[in-house]
This record gives sequence, C-alpha cells and structure tokens, in this order.
Amino acid sequence: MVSAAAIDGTRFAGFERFSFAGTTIGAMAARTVSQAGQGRVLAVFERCFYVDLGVGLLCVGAEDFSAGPLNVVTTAPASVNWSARGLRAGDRVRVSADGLRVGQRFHITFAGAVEWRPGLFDGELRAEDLRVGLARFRHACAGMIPAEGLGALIGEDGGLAPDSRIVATARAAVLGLEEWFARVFTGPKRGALEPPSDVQRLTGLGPGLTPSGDDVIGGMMIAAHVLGEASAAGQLWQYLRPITASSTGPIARAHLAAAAEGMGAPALHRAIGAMIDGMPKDPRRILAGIDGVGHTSGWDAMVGVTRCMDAWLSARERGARVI
Amino acid sequence: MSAVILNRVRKGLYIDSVALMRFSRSIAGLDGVEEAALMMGTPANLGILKDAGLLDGTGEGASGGDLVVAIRASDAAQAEAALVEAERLLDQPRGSRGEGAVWRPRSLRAAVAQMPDASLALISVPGDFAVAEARKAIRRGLHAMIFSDNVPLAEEVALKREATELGRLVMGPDCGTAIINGVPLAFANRLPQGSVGIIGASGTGIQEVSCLIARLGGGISHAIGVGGRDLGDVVGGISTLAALDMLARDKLTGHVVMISKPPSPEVTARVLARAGAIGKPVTVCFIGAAPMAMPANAEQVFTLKDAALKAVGIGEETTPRKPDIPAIAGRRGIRGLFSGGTLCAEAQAVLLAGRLQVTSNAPIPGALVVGAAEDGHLLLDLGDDAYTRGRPHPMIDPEVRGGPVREAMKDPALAVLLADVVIGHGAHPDPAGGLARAVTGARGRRAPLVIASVTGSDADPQIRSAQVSTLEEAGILVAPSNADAAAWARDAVGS
Repeated sequence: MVSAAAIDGTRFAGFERFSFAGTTIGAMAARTVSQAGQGRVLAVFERCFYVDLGVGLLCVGAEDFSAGPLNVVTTAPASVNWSARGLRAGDRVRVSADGLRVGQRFHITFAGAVEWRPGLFDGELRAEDLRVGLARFRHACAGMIPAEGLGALIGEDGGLAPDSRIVATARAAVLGLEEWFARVFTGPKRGALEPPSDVQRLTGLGPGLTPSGDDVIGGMMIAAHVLGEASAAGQLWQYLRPITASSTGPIARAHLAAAAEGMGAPALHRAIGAMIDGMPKDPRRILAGIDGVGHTSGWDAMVGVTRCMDAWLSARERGARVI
Repeated sequence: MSAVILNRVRKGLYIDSVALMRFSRSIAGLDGVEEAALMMGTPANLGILKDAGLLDGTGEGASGGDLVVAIRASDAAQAEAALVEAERLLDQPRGSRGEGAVWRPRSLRAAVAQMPDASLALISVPGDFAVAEARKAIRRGLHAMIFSDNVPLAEEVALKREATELGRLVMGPDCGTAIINGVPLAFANRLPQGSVGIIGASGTGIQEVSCLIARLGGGISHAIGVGGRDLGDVVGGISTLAALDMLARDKLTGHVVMISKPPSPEVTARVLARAGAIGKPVTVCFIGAAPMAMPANAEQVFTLKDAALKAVGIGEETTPRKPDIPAIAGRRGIRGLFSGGTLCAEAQAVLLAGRLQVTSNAPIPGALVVGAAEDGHLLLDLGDDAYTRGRPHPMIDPEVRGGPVREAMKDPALAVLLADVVIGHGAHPDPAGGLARAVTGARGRRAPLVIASVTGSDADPQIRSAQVSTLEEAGILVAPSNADAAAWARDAVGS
C-alpha cells in the first residue's frame, strides 16, 4: 500500500528503499550538511555520487570509499552500483535533522558519523629532510606518471617531456606560480603580492572531472598549509575564487575550496608527510596511494605539492623568514 | 578536401576520467578521424581545443560543467559517424557489452558437456570466485589453470592440497602463461614441441626461456606456470612439486628448467630434493639467488638466457654478437622500462653482476627499492600492480609505457633506455610499433641510446622478425635476448 505522503513527493519519510548510515564524514561535507536544506544530485558514478546543496558539495560512497574532505562514507555495501540502484543526476535532495534523503530511494543518516580531517603535521620541518624527500620522490615516481594530465611537470626542471598541448600550456603558469609562492614565502610584503595572472590559464585546464590544472593548484595550497604557510594558500584562493565560478566546473571548485583550507585526499597528505620526513625506504605504498586518486588527479596534485615545496626550499635559500 | 570539425555539447554530463580517456582514444582511432577529444568545457580546455583545431561554434558555447565532444575528420560523413559513436559510448549503460553470435558455456558443467575430453580448465573470474570454480574443475578430473589474481592465500593452499590428493595440478592463481602439449595458453608463444619442460612461477620468465630454446633449435614439451606465490613459505611449492612429478613421468620431457624468484631456504631445500629425484637433468634459475648446492642432476644458472642455453645443451655462447655502441660521453644512467617482471629481474641480475647500483620497484636481492636512493640505475617493472591499477597491462597496451619512454628520452642524464618487447598470444598486435613511436616522437639531440629485446617467435601473430625490424628502423639496438640487452646497456655505461 502506498500512502499519499509518498505520492506527493514532498514527504518521503519511511518510504526509502535503501537506508544507510554515514560512518565517516569529511570536514567540508559536515559543514555543508550543517548549513544545508535542499539541493540536487549533481553527478552519479558507479562508486559514488555528488550532491550539490547550494552551500557546498558532498560526495557519497559505499563502505570501501575513501575518506576525504567532501566525502561521506556509508554502510552501503562495496558492491553497490548507485546508478544501477536508480539514482539519477537531477534527483532532489533534502537534508534534515535525521539525515539526507534522495528522492524516495535513499536515506543516509549522519548521527554516528565520525568527522574526518587530515592530521596536522607536528614534527620539525627540516629543509634537508625535505630536500632529500623531494629528490627521492622524484626518483621513485619515474615511470609511474600517466601520459595524460600534467604529471610530467613533477620533474625538477619543469618537466622534461612537453608532449601534450596541456603540458605546454600549463608549464609557464605552474613555474610562475612556484615563483610567486617563493616570493610570498620570502617577502615581508607578502600580502601585497598578487598571484600571476597566468594562473587563470591553469584553472579548468586539462582532462578529468577535476581538471588537471585545478588539481595542481589544489596540491599547492594543501602543501602550503602543511609547510605552515596557510595564509599564502588563502591569498591564492581569495584571488582565484571569483575566477573559478566560470573557469571550471562545480566539482573541481568544491575540491579547490577544500584545498584552500588545507584538505585533500588522504593519500596526498600521506605523501606530503612522507616527503617532509625524507621519504620511507620503501615508498611503494605512498606512490600507489597517489596513483589511486582519480585517473590523473593524484599525480596532478603532486605537481602542485612538489612545486610548492621547491618554492619553500628556494625561499629558504634566499634568506627567507620561513620557519 | 579540407577537414571537417564537429562538436557536440552535453549539458551537465559527468563521466569519470578513465572512461573519457578511453572514449577519446576509441573515437580518435576510427576511420577518417584525424583527432578527437572529450573534455569538460572549461575556458582553458576550449582554448586547448581551439589551438588543436577541434573547436566549432557549438563547442564555443560550452561552460565548465558541460562535456564537449570534439571531432576533426576528413569529411562530414566520417565526422558525423564518429559523433554518433561517441554519443553511443557516452549513453551506453555501464558495463554493457555486445553480444557475440557464438554460444559460450556459462558454467563449468556446460563447458565439460560441450567438450567431454577436456583435461584442463582455464579459469578467469574475479578472485573471490576463482577457487570455487577451480575446485569444481579438479573434482571433475580436470587440471586447473587459474588466470585470476586476488585469491586469498589460505584458499590457494587448501585448493592445492586437495588437488594433490586428487592427482590434479593447479597452475596459479595469477598464472598468465602456460604451454600444454604444444598449446599456448593465455600469454604464451607459438613454439615447436620438443624435449624441454619448464616450471615457472613467472609468466615472462617462461616466455623468454621457451622462446630462446626454440631459437636455439630446441622445443618445449610443457611449460607449466605455478603462480607467483607457489614457492613462498605458506604454499611451500605444492604445485611446483606436483609439476616436477608430472614432468618426471612425461615421456616427451628430457630436461626440466625451473624459473622463480629465490624461494626461502626451507622451500628451496624441499624443491631441490624433489628435483634431485626425478631422474632427468634439471636447470635451476632462481633469479637473484646466491650460488647454492645442487643435486647431482641439477645445475644452477643466473639468467634466463643461460637457462635456455643449458636446456639445449649449450653451456656457453661461443661468439656472442656485440653491437657497435655509439659514444654516450657524460651520461651514465640506465633506465629500464619493462613490461615483464622477470625480464626486469633478469636485467637487474646482469647489472648487479657488473657491480652497478640498481634500484627497482621490484628489487631482487642486492638491488635497492625505488626511493631508497636519489640516483642509480632505475629498472622498473611496469606490469607491477602499482602501475596497472585502473590501466591495462603494458603487454596489452604499449601506450601505458609511452609516457615513461617519452620522459626518459628527454632526460639529459640518461645514457641508456632499456626496454623489453613481449609478443605472442594475448599481447598487443604491435608492441614494437608502440615503443618505436614513443622513442622516435621524443628523440632529441641528446637522447639516450635505446636498447631492446623481443621475446617471441616468428610463428607468433606479431612475427618476431617483423617486430625486430620495426625497432631497428626506429634506431633501436635490438639484442638477441633480454640478458644481452642488459649486458649491452651495462657495457655502454661502463665504456
């Protein structure tokens, strides 16, 4: 028997076919949920779906989904195929005290979910360890970097193989941004230094759901946070935020907003921590983690991370006021 | 006739990146298509499409949340056909496949009913289900070759013990190569039958040894893959011991070659004791192992090439061919980019024997793991799980190696780029072509010397001699074996 409550499409309680509990919720996602009322499903993939709640995005996945700033890990079985379960882009979403409801099919509760945010680096930041970590990372990742995307720019001299138009387009902007970070890290008038206009060519550039150029910028901002230079990341995001409204898609924009607060995929944070410590003797787990972030997103973000670290080391050599 | 550009904008359509890349390549490969791209319609990407001559008025109207399908083809009909195909790919349900006209059995029972004289089942299903299917096979009296990986170790042990009790052989899990009664299975080569039996825990190791034996005039009775974990402490060599017993009884087999990474001392002792009792000469190649005591009928070798030479009765090459290696002054680095794990291991053994420092993602004893040093000769197994997650294996899609090859070709510190080309059933139709294109497309004034070898035979679908010609035409030095290629590289940086 179906009640009027289900038919009118406004009061769904009790009629969902699938109900799951959120187990982990990213810090950005938790903030979004706390502010939101309703929205819509933005995109549906086999393994996860994005919800746009106006004030921010969530990415909802099953029990084996990775934690992340936008991510909600649920008790849904790993075998769940969201699109096959009838979820569609455009489906209406409502958030209330008892969780998130998508149409009449899905109900996800947040009551027992643990908030995730990346751990803070609390060790001593030593330039020599970082220099060794960077060199070892670059040596270790040779051969792993996918041909697509901007991973070629991880190379110390700005990338050795400008095979693609995307790399050729991005190179000057990436190096320009590295130099800007170095000057910001160095200078007493840091707040007066506007990011180079070239950065506009980077946002929205490249393949993927989160374009490679955005991943590079995100990696730079996350690394800046870890290096104790959160204000530089904030300065860059302040400049970029209005531009990204038209320069990239909403999913990339949401990830950039998280990066501006120093948050990215856990694998990225593990890699940054490992590099600061000089890299472990066996970095394969670190590299595999990066490789597992999107198709090229992990490597693209590491372009930003390595460039920001180069800038930090360069600033130190120039007699900077860094830690 | 000028080219035709055709764009389609799909509003608010989000497709994951891997699928977009795959679709782009697929469309770009259609007849008459000069270039194709499927990208989010951000201003930066529209700029890229415009520079590439792929943007028309329709595409110009896209925004960051839209997907742009951009095609440039030689005429309007081909552009339209490509666009239709792109739309089909974008709209197809995830995981859908075309239906073949040939009936294929959907269960082991149906397969046995269709072929009642079958003696072996090749099992390739998700790892969680592989043991169940293999168990059904051995209980029906079949030997089982398990292509699947991700099989729990405890289940592998239980399955192999049961198979031993039933007198059946389990090859694998993660067994990618076998030749049984002259029939190549999975990634294997078409070779003459002969008197050499091979037992190997590695696919490309079996391929290299069997192909070298064939080129030296010998032939293969059976090549039995046992899976990479069989000689580990937990499994304890159950399938290796069973295979030794089978080859001991096999009338065609006159000589047995064993190939593996070095097992633990306990497993080594067990396996060598059994090998010593089979009453036939045995060649043992545990790549990376130190010299060890052998039974009277066995001899230890340290490279796959030497294993092949021993198996056909040639102790040492009398006149190994040496190339004229061009001068590479000022550069000393070797970068090995391998599709075969054992070929990577063999190259490490050759360089280590020359007292060179080697790092690898799959280090043999004596080599360092990547990241443990800031420099050194870097030999990579690009078929390792870390490189193939979400991507095809480089033996199936040579383009997977394209990026690393291009990167190496631009490295001014690199003296030698070392690569393998593995052909045969299951491999890409033209892997040499893929390597040659990557090398020639990126070769600059100070490019490194490129040295390669081709594992395969002229009876393979790709034809080894044709693959060698493709490489040589691209200016690549082609060594007669993988070990020779590594030795040439070693000599080049040492000269």
